[in-house]
Amino acid sequence: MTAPLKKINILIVDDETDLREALVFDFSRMKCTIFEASNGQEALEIVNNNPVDIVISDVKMPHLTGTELLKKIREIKPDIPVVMLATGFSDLTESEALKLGAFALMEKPINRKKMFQLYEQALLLLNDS
Amino acid sequence: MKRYIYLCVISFITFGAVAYFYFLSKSGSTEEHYKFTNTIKALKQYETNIEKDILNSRSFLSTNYDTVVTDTEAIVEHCHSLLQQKNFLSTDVVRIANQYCALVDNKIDDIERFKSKNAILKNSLFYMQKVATESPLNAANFKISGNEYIMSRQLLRVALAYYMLPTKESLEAFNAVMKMTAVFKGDFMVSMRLHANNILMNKSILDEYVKSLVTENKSRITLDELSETYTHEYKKAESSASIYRNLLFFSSIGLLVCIIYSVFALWQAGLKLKDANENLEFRVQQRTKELKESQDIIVMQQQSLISSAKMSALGEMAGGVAHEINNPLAVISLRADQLRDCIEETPIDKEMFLKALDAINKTTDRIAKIVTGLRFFARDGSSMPFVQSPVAPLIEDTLSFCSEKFNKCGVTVNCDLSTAKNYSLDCRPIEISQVILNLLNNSFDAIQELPEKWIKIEFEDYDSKHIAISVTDSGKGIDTAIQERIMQPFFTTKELGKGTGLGLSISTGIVQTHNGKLYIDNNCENTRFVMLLPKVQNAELEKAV
Repeated sequence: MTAPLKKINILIVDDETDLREALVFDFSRMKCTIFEASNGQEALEIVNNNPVDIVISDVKMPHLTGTELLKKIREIKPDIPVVMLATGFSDLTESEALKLGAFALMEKPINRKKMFQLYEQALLLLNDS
Repeated sequence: MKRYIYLCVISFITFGAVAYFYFLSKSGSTEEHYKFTNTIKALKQYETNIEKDILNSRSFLSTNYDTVVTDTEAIVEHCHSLLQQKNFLSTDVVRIANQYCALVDNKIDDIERFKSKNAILKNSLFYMQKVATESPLNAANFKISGNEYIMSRQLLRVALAYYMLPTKESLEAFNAVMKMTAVFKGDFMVSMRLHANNILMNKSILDEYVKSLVTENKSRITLDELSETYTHEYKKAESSASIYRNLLFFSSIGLLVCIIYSVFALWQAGLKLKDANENLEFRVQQRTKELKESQDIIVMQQQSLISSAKMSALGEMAGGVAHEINNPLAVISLRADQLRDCIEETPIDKEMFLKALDAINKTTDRIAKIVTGLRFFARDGSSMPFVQSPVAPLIEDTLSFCSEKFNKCGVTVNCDLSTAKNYSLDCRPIEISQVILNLLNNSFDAIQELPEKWIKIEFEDYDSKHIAISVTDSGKGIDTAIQERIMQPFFTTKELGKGTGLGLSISTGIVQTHNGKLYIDNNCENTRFVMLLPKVQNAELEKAV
């Protein structure tokens, strides 16, 4: 893993504290600026008020679900790649997520290697634009 | 039914006819009839006898009236007896009988007169005969001439001839001789002529009597009329009586037929009833069998529904458990990977390492909690004994099973067990846990679409003998109209495929076996289910209020 050229602002959204902390742990070691939210509403506020580059979001959350959040982000800041974290039970399939404009969908339990790969791809996308 | 009414009516009519005809067919006393006919017969005989007697007494030689006397006496006697029998005779017959008796009286007189006239005549004849048959030698005794004598004999001859055969010629002859003898003036001839005249006179009178007594016997005619009239009437009465007797016979037959038919019809009806009963019995048995079969099918279907509900509940639960374990699993996976990265670095970041390990431990504790909650469903709680179970852990463990799901869906759970700290409940903990979970799940499902989503669990020391565990949610209560029905099996307000409606009925059952009560608190503005349970279970414990 190579450190990126500039600091990336990453928003991690999950109502599961432990999981969020685990993700925060990893991405902070990669020298990203971390924003955290425990539900969709919080996340939306953060997106509106801060320069967020990448969003990683759970689907099943109170107040505003991941799906809703995705739609909203696509409306207001369509440049931001959004990675959805779904369980097998969360009513969001990969094809649906991609149709809604998600960058990717990952199923829990998370494959860490794949997660970093997606991260690299997202960076490339950002650098291109 | 109508048939039987007709039968009764016909039987009554027939019976009435039988009685009526019986009384009408009684003919007059046969004894009286025979007495009367015998009287008539005797009278007829005596009439004949008298006629014969009269005729006989005309004969020159007979002067015997004995039989006439006895016969007339007999006839009179029979007339009396005839009149005594008036009572049973008709008025016509009585009238004729009276006529006859009157005629008989006349006849008696006539017979007497006949007898006297006949006597005179006979006397004269006899005298003449006697005188005329004396020998000529005695003519001198009479002091008559021979001529006178011859003339007297001549007179006798014509008198006799006229007596025998009173024709015009014999009368002329008689008169001629009478004229011739008128010459003789002596006593002898005078007396002869007197007697001859007697004969002449009385003969016609006598003949008249004979006529009336014999040839034109009025009484006999009347007697015949009497006999005929009576016979005619008797025959009529007999024939009508015999008609009635026939009618009686036939109506009796008719009555007998009615009776036999009634008996037969009753017997048939009895048989029919028996048949109908058997048929009914059979049909009832069939129906019962069918119903039993249907019932068995229904029971089977209910059981299959229950087991499929259990299966779907199990499936739901399995899905829920998997869902809830998924996140902790993801954490463990990430952290384990991070540990691996950590250990390969040099120098090893000890802090990071420990942090990751702590996270793993914490997460495994979470999974343990879920698994602990599962134990309530691993076994059937209904055959377990009642045990003293601390209330607080019971409720907490149940809650831990579903708290993740609730939080994920934005449902706030408020559980205040501060008052439950020292309480132990005499119960089957697995079953009580199931009831609490059922109430929690029901609340969760009910408030999904509401703006406010919360569930509150409370514990209360209700009274000296009971405790109350209640589950309240942010819903606005349950319609009183359906409150009773929701406790029943297979009732659900959830959409098709979402709920089986068995949860509350099973919960109610569990609470009842614990001698408790599960009810809805209508005093609360929100939806509140209260489970009232006795603290101690024993045989003498009364049911909860």
